[in-house]
Amino acid sequence: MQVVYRQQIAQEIEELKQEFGSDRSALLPILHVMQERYRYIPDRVLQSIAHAFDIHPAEVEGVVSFYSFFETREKLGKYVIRLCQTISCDMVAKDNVARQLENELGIKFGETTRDGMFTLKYTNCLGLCDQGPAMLVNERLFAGVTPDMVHQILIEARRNFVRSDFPCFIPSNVCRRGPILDNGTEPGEGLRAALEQHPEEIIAIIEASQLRGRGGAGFPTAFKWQLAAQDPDEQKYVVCNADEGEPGTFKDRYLLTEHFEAVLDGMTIAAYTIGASQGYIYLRIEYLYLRDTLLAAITRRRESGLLGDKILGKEGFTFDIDIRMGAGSYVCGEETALIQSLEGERGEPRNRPPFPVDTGFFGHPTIVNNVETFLDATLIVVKGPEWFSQHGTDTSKGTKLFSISGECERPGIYELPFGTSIHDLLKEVGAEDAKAVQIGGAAGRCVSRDHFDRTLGFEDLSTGGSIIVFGPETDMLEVARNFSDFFVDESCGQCTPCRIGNVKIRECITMLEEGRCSSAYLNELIKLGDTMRLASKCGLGQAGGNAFRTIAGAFTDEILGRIPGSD
Amino acid sequence: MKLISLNINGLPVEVEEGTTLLEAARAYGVNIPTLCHDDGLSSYGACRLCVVEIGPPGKSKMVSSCTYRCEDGLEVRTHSAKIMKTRAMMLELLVSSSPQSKTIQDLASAHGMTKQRFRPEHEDCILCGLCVRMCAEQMMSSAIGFVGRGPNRRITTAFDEVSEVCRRCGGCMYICPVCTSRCHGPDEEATLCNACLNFSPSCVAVYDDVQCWMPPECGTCVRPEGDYLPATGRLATEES
Ligand SMILES: Cc1cc2nc3c(=O)[nH]c(=O)nc-3n(C[C@H](O)[C@H](O)[C@H](O)COP(=O)(O)O)c2cc1C
Ligand code: SF4
Ligand code: FES
Repeated sequence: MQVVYRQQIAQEIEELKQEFGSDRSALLPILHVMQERYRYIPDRVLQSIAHAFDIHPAEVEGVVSFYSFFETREKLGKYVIRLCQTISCDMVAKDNVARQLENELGIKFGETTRDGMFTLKYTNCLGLCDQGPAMLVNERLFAGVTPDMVHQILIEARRNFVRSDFPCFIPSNVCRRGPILDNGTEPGEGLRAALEQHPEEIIAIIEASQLRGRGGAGFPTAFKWQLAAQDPDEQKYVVCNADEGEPGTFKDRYLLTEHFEAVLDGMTIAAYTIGASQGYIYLRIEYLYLRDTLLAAITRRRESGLLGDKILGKEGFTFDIDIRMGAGSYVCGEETALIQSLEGERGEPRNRPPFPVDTGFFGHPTIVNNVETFLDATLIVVKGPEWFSQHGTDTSKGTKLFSISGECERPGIYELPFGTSIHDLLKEVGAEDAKAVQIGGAAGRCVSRDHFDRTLGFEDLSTGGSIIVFGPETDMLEVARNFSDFFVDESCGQCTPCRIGNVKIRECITMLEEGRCSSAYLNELIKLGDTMRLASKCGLGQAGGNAFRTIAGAFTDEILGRIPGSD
Repeated sequence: MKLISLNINGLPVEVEEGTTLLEAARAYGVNIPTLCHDDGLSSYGACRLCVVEIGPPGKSKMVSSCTYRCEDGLEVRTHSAKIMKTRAMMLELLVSSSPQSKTIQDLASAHGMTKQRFRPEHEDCILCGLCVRMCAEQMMSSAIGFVGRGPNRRITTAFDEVSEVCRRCGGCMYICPVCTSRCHGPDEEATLCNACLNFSPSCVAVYDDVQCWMPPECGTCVRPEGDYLPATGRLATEES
């Protein structure tokens, strides 16, 4: 057993503070390092951290216990196996893989093998929904895992993956390219074009393109930037939201690997426009395997004068970018929760107003944009607003990346113009016999066959890109259960409607499964979904009842009157 | 100080800049129910009971009045049918999670709740966070805090151990709206307070000559006579 001495820990933390800084925002990075060293975060480490940052131990414990990737109770195995339990992987027999993992290791999920080698855990969406079942072994990703692969993976793990037969990196599946993905800009090209303009002109260009945020909510990007630009505060921040936690979304992972330079350009343009000097990329911990490549790209840019002081010789324009890792929490994709998390707090959404554009990171104006939004902004600056706005509809301009998974012949990433109908989309992906489609992930809505003429766009079906196709054989109640489990798991638990409401919905689903739910009670629960939508504090609770409401509304005949045990 | 004029329930109202909707409404005698708000503490906006509608009918949205600051020309409705329905639904959820609380029962019946459709849970703590803020902001202690998330969220001391920074002030018990962290009398096992154990004579409730700083209506004192139940002694929602 490894004995950890208090003094040694204190010294380690001091050293880490030198590296990550001594303000509270260094808390999460330090916790990550400590967890890696000790394979969990024992109480005495928490105490030392509290002491080093001059905060109360209760606060540090609160932070650690919020994130699912931190472990405080017992030492994790050398390899932590995290199997994705979210809907798309669930539909492709992840249960068989889970069973086989348990068989091979002789432990249940949540346990660690006696030799301390392996820990089994479930996790939520890993961003590989089109190639599931997906599994992480520490930071290494495995796609399309089948029960017969499990043995091989474990053997290789015992050999530390030396000369592994499995690919180190799993490329994304891009099925259809459009103007955005075919852009062909050079690193720094967008930035050079931008620096020739005045910040106000850039806002005017973005405004003319009518670009709306690609993260889901569709807030006009130019307006967000303008609000931040107007603020007299000296210190401002640009944050790239690479949390990509919505079940069924995997396009940001691709953009970060293949179009990262243009994304960095976008962030730098935004910094120039609003007058920010520091940027952060909030990268989800599930994408840890991307970090080193991304950091290398950032370093390269620093060396070639695209980041740092006097960027491209522009007097007075200083900007740098750092990567901050999340720690396993979906709600941290919500912008105010993301900022809380950056500040080293529990990732709990804040009350809005004030919005991040005036009171963001440590109280300073901060713009948070999705990865794709930054990419689009760069291309708009290079190619002009008309190039962008010629596609799409009146209120939703441009093309958008869709992550399509589920039961279809060609799952993957599709670039399509807004305004595409579900019908056309299904034809394209090879799923014309689909029974229903979930638009917008767990937070989105389920659209049944008779509404396939509806279109994708902010005016009709708004989505951050997640589209999950359900084939004719799908049991919609199982779908509802999966989404509901997800929300119960990921709610921060701050506010009443979301914390209690999601649990009640899950209970109702259990009742439906057991065939003892009256339609009156079902109606009450649909009404509860309404209350959650109206009264919850953040988007998670507001959307928490959507999937259930829409599934229960469209498939009432299928979910009522079940006889348990029969299929 | 700049004055802001807005409209609450059809009534033109003028308040100082920075006033929250809740403060403005209360100043004009409109009573909005709250569970996680206290005038001496920062706003938290978690119980969502104080939601009000802003904007013209049909285009309105709901915000928590305890956190939303007054804006010029804002149109606010605090007791519309939509609001009352929403509050009633939330109270029903709260009753199911804390069926024993008098405060919540009273609020629920005031909102016309006559039956309970959801299965009662006996979680008791409603996680309003008043005690956490009381401890941090008024007592400068931060002996307690939230741990976990979602349904596993609870309030406890660091590492579930007796806290070194707890001053045994009882502020958490004083402020608790559902009396979860109520005084259970002296209990050596308890993680919090136990100030009365240091007194001689020992218990505030047992001996009349020791001053009790709980409000008299709290009514949670443990009396020696009657069915005295030894306390669970934990300021946590976790079931033991
Ligand atoms: C529960 C929840 C999760 C979210 N997750 C993400 C996410 O993973 N990625 C993202 O870009 N936006 C996410 N958002 C939206 C962000 O709050 C925010 O609107 C977005 O980052 C703004 O960027 P945009 O204007 O470029 O879309 C989420 C919102 C909510 C309510
Ligand atoms: S809606 Fe849910 S996730 Fe959002 S603040 Fe409330 S409890 Fe937290
Ligand atoms: S009093 Fe406003 S949310 Fe609780």
